[in-house]
Amino acid sequence: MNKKAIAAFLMLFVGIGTAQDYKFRKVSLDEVQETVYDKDSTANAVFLYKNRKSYYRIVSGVGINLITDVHERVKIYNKSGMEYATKEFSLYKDGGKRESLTGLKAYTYNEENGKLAETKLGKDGIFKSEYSENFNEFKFTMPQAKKGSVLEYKYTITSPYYQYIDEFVFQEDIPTKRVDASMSIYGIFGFGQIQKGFLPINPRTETLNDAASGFKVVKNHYTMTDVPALKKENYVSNIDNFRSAVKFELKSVSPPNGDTENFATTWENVSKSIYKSKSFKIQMEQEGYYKDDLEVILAEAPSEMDKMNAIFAFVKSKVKWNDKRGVYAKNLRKAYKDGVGNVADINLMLISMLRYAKIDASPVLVSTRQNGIPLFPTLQGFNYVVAAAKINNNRYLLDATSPYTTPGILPVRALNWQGRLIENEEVSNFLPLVPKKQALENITMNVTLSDDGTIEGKCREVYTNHNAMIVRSNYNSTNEEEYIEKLTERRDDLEISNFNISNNKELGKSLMETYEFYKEDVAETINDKLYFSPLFHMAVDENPFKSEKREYPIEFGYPWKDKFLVNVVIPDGYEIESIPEPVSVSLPQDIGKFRYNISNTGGMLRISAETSMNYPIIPAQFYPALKQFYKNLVEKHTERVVLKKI
Amino acid sequence: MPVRNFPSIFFLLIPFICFSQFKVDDIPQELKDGANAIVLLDSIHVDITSRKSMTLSKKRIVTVLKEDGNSSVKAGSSYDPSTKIKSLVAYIYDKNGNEIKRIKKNDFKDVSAVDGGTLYGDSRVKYLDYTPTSYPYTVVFNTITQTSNTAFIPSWFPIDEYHISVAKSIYTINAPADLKLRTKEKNLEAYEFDKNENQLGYTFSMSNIKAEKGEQLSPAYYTIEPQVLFGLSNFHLEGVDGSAEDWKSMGNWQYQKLLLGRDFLPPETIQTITNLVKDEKDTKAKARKIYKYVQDNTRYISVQLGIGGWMPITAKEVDNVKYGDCKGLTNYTKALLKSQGIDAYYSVVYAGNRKKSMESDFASMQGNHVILNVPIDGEDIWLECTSQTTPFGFLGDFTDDRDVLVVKPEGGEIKRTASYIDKDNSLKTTANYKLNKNGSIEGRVTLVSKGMQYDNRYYRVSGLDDEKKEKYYKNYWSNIGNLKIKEASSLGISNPFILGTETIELSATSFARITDEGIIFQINPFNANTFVPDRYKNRKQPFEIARGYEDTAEYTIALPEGFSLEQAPTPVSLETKYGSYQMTIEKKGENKLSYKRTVLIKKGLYPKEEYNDYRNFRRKVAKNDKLKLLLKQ
Repeated sequence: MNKKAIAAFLMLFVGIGTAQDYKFRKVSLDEVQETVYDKDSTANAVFLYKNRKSYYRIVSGVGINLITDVHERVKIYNKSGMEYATKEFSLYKDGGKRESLTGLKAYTYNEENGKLAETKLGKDGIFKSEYSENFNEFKFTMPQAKKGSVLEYKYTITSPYYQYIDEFVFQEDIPTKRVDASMSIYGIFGFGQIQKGFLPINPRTETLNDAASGFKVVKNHYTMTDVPALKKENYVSNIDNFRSAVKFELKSVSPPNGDTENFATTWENVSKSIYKSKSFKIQMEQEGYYKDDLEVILAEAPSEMDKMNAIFAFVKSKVKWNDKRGVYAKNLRKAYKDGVGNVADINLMLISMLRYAKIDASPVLVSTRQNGIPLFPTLQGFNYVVAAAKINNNRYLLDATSPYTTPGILPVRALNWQGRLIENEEVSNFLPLVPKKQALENITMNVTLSDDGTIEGKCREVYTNHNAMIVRSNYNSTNEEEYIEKLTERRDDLEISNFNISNNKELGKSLMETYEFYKEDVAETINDKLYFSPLFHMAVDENPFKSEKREYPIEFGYPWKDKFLVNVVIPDGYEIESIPEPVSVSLPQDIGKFRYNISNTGGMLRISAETSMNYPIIPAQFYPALKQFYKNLVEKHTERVVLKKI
Repeated sequence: MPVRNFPSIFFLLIPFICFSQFKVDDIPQELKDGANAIVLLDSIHVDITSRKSMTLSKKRIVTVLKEDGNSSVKAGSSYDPSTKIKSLVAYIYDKNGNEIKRIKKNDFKDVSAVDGGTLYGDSRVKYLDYTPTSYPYTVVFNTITQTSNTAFIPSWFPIDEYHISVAKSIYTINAPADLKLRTKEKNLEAYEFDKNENQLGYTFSMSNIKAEKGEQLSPAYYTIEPQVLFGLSNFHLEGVDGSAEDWKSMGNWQYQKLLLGRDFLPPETIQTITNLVKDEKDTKAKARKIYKYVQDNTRYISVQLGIGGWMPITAKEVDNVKYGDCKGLTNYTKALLKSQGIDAYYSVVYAGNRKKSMESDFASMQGNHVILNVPIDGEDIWLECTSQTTPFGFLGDFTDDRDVLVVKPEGGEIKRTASYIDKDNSLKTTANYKLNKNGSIEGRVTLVSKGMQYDNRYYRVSGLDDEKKEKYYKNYWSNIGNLKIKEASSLGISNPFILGTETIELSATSFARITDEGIIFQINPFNANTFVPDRYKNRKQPFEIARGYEDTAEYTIALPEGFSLEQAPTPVSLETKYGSYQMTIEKKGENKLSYKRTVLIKKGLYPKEEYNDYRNFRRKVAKNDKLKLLLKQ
């Protein structure tokens, strides 16, 4: 035997040795007896097998249906894994159309007296209900499921919404031993596909003839083994961005005897397709309903900048957001009349009015953080729209859905990498959504320390940009008393009095809060000496990064800078014995830095501490540096001043 | 028919606030202070015309001042197969009192009202989905529902949530005399309210209730909240008539109509159980094994349909599918015990970590959960049958120390569940740690917890995987900088008593501070009781320590070579009515310190005047527990 043959033989042998039977109801006793997953002992449950086949079928009188056959086998290792014994589905419906789930067959496998025992899911474990106008619920829960059980089920979902293909998810929150999947697409459909996540996905493609429809069919096969669980981490806006999966998007339809209709082969096409739709461009072109009201507003605004600000404020006051997302407007005129609309109603109206005022304004298509990062040209990839106005060659992003946004400052939900700016029917380009402007937190405290460890003093907090937006939103949504309660909590139980806020509604200005404070037991006495951290409750005293390693980028959302200036009057009868050393630490490549300065002038301490992060997203490779940076920061912020009794 | 007409005539008189008064400027300032919304009117009218017919007419007028007040509009009406919505309408007014929108029944959103923990149920809700176009605004909401269930009559709670004021709350009820309407008034002494009583029923009302804010350590609100409870002695529930004047008869009814005959088990299952316990002589040991069997073989799945909201699914059904809700699993466990001749009783409880008792002197349908009472040799053992991990006989803060209804064939009985008080809830922290010259430490810490501390920490920690365990400890000891967990293990025992032991090997690089004078370190890093309640200039509510606890700490500390403590601090001993504190530090040779500390916090309900005394005690405890020592060369 030559070496190749030996290798092939060995592979065959290995293949047989570990072969699993993935046929439905061919669960083995070994699988039921297994007590721990050797590749991840922390797993509460594991998908032993997942199979999904999606394909099309033409149903006479109905049209094209998308059929998805699912077969899954799950192992429950412990009681925490029991949540996988219940499956829940939301099935969409509208008008006369609906998704349906049929052909459910499910079995639980347990060991009984050393043998495999099978229990069938009965009707009493299946629950169907009408959840709301657009969704039916379908749930089932497995009988006799317990620690050790293997659960197996299969079902078929039939959808008349053939252009919407649910993502093929290969990585779950628990490990998956093997997943097989296929997507068969009629040759008349042009589909694009894109892969997500860090794991390699290698599809195999073949072309077949479908006798039933007479169409050619393109079939994509996927197989992955030993897929690890996806684990959540802090400072990740949406973990699904990193989940291994394949997404499909309809790009074109070429009917046998007709012209090809393209939907979304490129970002240009996506933008064009959205722009041209009835719910977009035409809506923006209507001006009649607001013309008279707007003329009054514009008469008071001489410059382009004044006009932009006035229109922005006008739309915000005129139409409130109903929390509904999407790139298509429902009806701008009605939204204007009712004072309520979805995001497209509001921001397309804003663009329309800006254009009416001869300001260069364009829509920007956005995918919200919740919707994930749009990875490839896709109509469904965008679910939000904001406005961009250009004045004196400066471009301002505007979103009128929140009362506290300002030009260039979008709500956090929209801060998702980049948007697609549609200048006109022909030209569209990517545009970063995250602001270059740092969100500032500027805190000045004058503190008097008593020898019993109590502090009293005055504080001024100033906020700009995103920080100002967040504070305004918190303050204005509740009564002042409750706001102060929350501020007290945020400031480590600081007692607050004579609270005053300025510019909580004047969005163009910095937001400022002033108050007096009181707190006990902040300094410690050891052997006639007083010890305290001179940043007091403002000190960052805990490293937010605790994991030893990290695979995902760290998302702060927007660049920021915190500046603290503290003046401390020390108690009578004490003198300063030691103060921390000034320090300045930078992250590589100007990602961020912190500075700490302290001086002693005539018995008065003056501390200035500044921390800044210059980028909204920091690649994972810098995680060790960032963790070390915070370690240093925490050490410095919590370092003590020592006072000695004279 | 004057009798029937009376309530509706009365009800027509209610819109005493004429619409022009929705002008926000006209609302008295005292109702606006500290309020996110003002309930101008909350009116409930309960019209019971027969055992099987109850009509609820609700009118609620709310002026919302701030976004956070939106949730107090509460313009929604729930329904199910035996409760129909007769009418439903809402009107929106702007701040000047002008009507700006009218929402009809069909424009309300209609969704399933099954809560997240329930897999399936038949209750639904129609709610108002309104986006306010400006603040303040006012919502007038009217709904009438009709139900055949008369077992549950809404209570009167005149006070709304924190930060919500109430201009007027009114409640009227009438019922035919033969159904015997009963009431119970609670916590009304301190309030001004109106009450009218006639042969048909009652009217209660209260006015001008200012917005309150929450205070730390306040007793559970419903224990001090003014309220009136209502019940019928002859009622109807999902197709079943009921009669009960007291808990004995209520229990008897529940037993006869909801439980009887639902405990049949297949012979094979009985055989399995018989085999399981055949080697056990002792009843308690048998019960322990049966409980373990239930925990290992079943799980909690909640399905609530019609009478199924109160009647358990049969033991046979649970045996077949191996899941059920609290009623089903409790009834199943009861049946398994019965098969071995062990008596056990289905017991209805108000579950929640804030203790709430069944009203011991007022029988009506109460409670939201079911547990099992197993009296063995004069001892009451309580079993939580929905948990797969709770030790035998342990309740935890979900159902501890409260009055429950024990349903026996001969009738109901009010009993108190097991309590965990003061020293019952102990945590003993033992540590051997070594402090190094560079300020780092390494050592081994052992935590032994009992009672509620077992419930709140061991029970949680032991279920975590290594990664989450590490996170948990890093968070628990967030006072220790750059903590590393080398190894963490846990071991629980449940017989003869319940306790959990955690053993943690750890190290930390930046623990102590190096100064010119020497090394400064916190001697008690592992169990510092640093909680100090908030200061109030004008405390309004009494304060409560619901359960109490005892923390002890014993450490042996090896000091870095060449460093020593000049003088051991003098021992501290504090005694108060709220608890006590003892701390001693001793030098053991040149190189070692021994640290011993005990904190006892006692359960109790105390008047607001004593709040500062308690706070001062906690300040002293915190200060001493944060004690830092200076080691010199």
